[in-house]
Amino acid sequence: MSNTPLTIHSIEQLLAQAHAMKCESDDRLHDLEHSLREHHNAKAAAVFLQIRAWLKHSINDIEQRASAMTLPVIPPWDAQWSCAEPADCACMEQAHYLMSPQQALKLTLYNEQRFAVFFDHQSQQGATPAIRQTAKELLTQDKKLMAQIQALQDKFDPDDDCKQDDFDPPNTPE
Amino acid sequence: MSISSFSIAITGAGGSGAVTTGLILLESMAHYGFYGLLNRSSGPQIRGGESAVFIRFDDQEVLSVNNHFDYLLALDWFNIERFIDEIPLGQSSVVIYDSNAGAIPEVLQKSQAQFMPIDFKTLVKTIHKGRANMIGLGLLANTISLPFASIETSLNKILGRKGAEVINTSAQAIRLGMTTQQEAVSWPVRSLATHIEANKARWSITGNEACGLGALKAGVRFVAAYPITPATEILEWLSPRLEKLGGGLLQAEDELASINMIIGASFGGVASLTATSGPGLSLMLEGIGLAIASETPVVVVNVSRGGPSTGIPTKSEQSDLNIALYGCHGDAPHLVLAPLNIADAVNTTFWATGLAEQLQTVAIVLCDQFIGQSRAIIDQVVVPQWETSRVTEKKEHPQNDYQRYKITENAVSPMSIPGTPNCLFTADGLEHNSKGTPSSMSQDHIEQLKKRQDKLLKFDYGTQWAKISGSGTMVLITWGSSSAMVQEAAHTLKQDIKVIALRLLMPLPVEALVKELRNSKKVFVIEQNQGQQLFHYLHSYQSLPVDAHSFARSGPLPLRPAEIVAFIKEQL
Amino acid sequence: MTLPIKPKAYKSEIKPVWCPGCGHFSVLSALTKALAYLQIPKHKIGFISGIGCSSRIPAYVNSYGFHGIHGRGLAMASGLKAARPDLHVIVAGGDGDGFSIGGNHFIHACRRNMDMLYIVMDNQVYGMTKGQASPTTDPDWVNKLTPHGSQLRPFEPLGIALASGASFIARGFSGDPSAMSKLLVEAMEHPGFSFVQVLSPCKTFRPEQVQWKQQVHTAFAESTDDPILAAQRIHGDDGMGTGIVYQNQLPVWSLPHDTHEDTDIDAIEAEFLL
Repeated sequence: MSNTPLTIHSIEQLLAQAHAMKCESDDRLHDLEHSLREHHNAKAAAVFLQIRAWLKHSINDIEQRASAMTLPVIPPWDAQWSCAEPADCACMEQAHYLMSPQQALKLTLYNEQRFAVFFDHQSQQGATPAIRQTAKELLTQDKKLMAQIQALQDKFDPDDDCKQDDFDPPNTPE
Repeated sequence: MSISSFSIAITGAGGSGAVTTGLILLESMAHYGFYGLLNRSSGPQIRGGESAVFIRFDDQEVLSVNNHFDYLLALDWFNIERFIDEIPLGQSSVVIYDSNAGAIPEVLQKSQAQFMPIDFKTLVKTIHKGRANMIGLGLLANTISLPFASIETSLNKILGRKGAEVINTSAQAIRLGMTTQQEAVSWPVRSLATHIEANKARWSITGNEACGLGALKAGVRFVAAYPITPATEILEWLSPRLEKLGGGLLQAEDELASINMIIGASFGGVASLTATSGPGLSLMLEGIGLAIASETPVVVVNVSRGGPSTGIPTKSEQSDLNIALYGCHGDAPHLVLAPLNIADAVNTTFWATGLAEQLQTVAIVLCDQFIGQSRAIIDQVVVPQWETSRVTEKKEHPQNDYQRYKITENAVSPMSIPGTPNCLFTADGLEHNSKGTPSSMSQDHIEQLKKRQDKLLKFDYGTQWAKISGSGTMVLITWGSSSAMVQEAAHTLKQDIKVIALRLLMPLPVEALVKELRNSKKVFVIEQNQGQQLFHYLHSYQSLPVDAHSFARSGPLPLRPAEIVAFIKEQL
Repeated sequence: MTLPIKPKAYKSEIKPVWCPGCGHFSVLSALTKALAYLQIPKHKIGFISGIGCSSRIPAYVNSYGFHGIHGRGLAMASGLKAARPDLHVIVAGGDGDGFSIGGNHFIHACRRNMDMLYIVMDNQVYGMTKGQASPTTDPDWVNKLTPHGSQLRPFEPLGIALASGASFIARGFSGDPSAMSKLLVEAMEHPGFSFVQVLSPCKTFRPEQVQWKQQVHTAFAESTDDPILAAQRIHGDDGMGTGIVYQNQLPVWSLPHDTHEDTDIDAIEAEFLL
């Protein structure tokens, strides 16, 4: 994983990276959605479910573009998935079983913002015009997704940001 | 026991070679056509300590100890107090001792036996590197009319590793002993008459080896274990032989590892076993519970020592019944079997392994030090054609609907072996549903508890559950190594007595037992432990009449037929 | 994207009950990616664990698994691997399971250097039992069971692994799952006992571990096969350094097989004949 955007040499490589990133995001949202459901936080789970549905369009689009191509296999550690940033980033570990929909949305927005950074960079620095064009199109999609997330954020109380207290003590299941 | 039965004890310390003498004697008598049962006793030193060997001979299989020894060959008097309880002597007994060894010890002075001093020191000097124990052996051989020819083969077998010179010197010494003048005593044994069929296949084998053989024959190919007295020989015997058969033995760091390793190997589809004694069995209990709960077949051979705790590691006792039955926390039904004697250890261990595999559970084989570390001459054992394989799931389940713990007619569910595609499951010690997913639901717990119990109770164990001999309204119930002594006591009493020697202790065949006791008027439960463990166990199933008697004596001394007879007579 | 087995295929249909935000999710994710990268057939994997939050992982992976008893995962895995050397054996557990009750088995598993992967998800706490100190907890972490803290120097798994003979020793961090995937691939490709300690914060009982993100750093950019250098690395380690500390080709133990003799059981039985 790296914070330094790597140089993309082909459309195939771009699409492979994009696909890997989006699928990774989907996997994590899937984990969060189910985990929150297991912990009876239906509201936050619903948020992740919704984001996943929107993300699916993005993934389908990439797969459509790549249908006639053979994409390179990206090892997981070469995927452009930056995470280890300072504390103010909303990373997966920030999820909490009492998290509010607002916090869930913040988390997913952060992921999308990082995709946008990647696509933005490639739309300007990509090796060929085709790469730059495709990256630009993917960036547009991302921005659309981010707008959708932000719109959803408006639906929830902006102060709904604090964790509720759980008065019950923890359990010992085993 | 026939009238040709007699017993010899040989004692000596630090390098006197008492044990070697005993082994040669046993082997020689076997070649001459006799059967024998040899066990030994020693001091706490690793080497050079006091040593004793006890052998009983007969022209039929010897299973029991005698009531007294006919001969004691004392190569010296060092610490004989340690063994004296184990060597009851009578008026007809002869004590052959070294006249240079000092005064006869006080413990023996009260004995009514005949004493014969031999000047071993002088005799030994006449042979270069001659040894007193070989002279003593020759002397004994002469008194019981054992021909030198029979001894010669044994010398090569037992002393072979020491080289030709040692063999020759020993042969010389034996011949010298055979021709040594003796004082006139009344010898207990005049002559040996052998009635053994020529070319009958017979074995020289220890109980520990017999357990190992039974396991190998039943398909055990993986052992993980930690050395512990008196079980280590099972492991040492199995190790190279497992390898020869394509399996192997892994020496574990402790018993906690041992039990978990065999569970892992069994999970992988390989029949697996470990062997231990009381302290090790205590450590293994949690793992045994895991095997039971996850329905993973394993065999645990426990060679009982004197308990509790470290106890008396080199002596026998039947005090591990309780832990074998009740040791696991929770309701954890499993199998507990106990061989009756050395020959029976082959079949019982075989049977236990087959049952564990078929029923996907734990089989604890309760052996004891008396059986485990004794050597006997027995008729070759032929193992019956019992089923040994586990029911495996080979059908693929592409819909991921394989139910590892599904409830079936006989409560045994087919087990898929790792490497089988589309049949995946995760075994668990946690209670689970039929698919194996952990569950704390009452329905699942009730169902799975019932499954694990039903599979044992619904199984038809046939007639192996006990050895029943004789008939009569007096019934003697026993188990393990005590069986032989009880059998001999019954014979001595010359009455109509039924002896029930249990092999299957858990699940207890209550119905069959109650049926055997239906017309009984006097019932005795005889065992070698202080806590009356079998007696209480049988009572807990209301399988004994209210006035049944308990003869329960702890180790370290073996039960003797005479004391059982005395007890029974007292109650009549 | 035409991998025959996708990472998702290695996840079972059972949903993890770990707390949302638990580091173990990333470990599961990284592991499935590593397995997919190596294309290991699901039915050839034996996934063994002990007891604890970390030890729940075998049920969440589509493979053969065994959720065993506390501290004994390595022993069970050793038995499985010895009897079935054809299987890919993975062991997982936590810091309590592995370094307290499992400590003895850890040492001997390193010694044997059998070909398997051992992942310890270290969150420096006993999570399952509601928050007691574990062997890797700092000495002054106050809790109900030891109100003064453990007052003991933390267990050093990397050092003990090295001294005991492990041939692959590494540390990862659940907050860097990509690097962890790579680590796990290398660990699984390594012939011998691969020990990977993964710092995996406990959301519920050690919420302050969220700070690990700033403290974790790549300490061992390249592995070394020099045990002295490895020892120096461990000595200078602040407990937060990731990478492969040590990797060496050492003798791998498996059950010896007697290839000389073609023996059958009848020959063994015949040994008893007089």
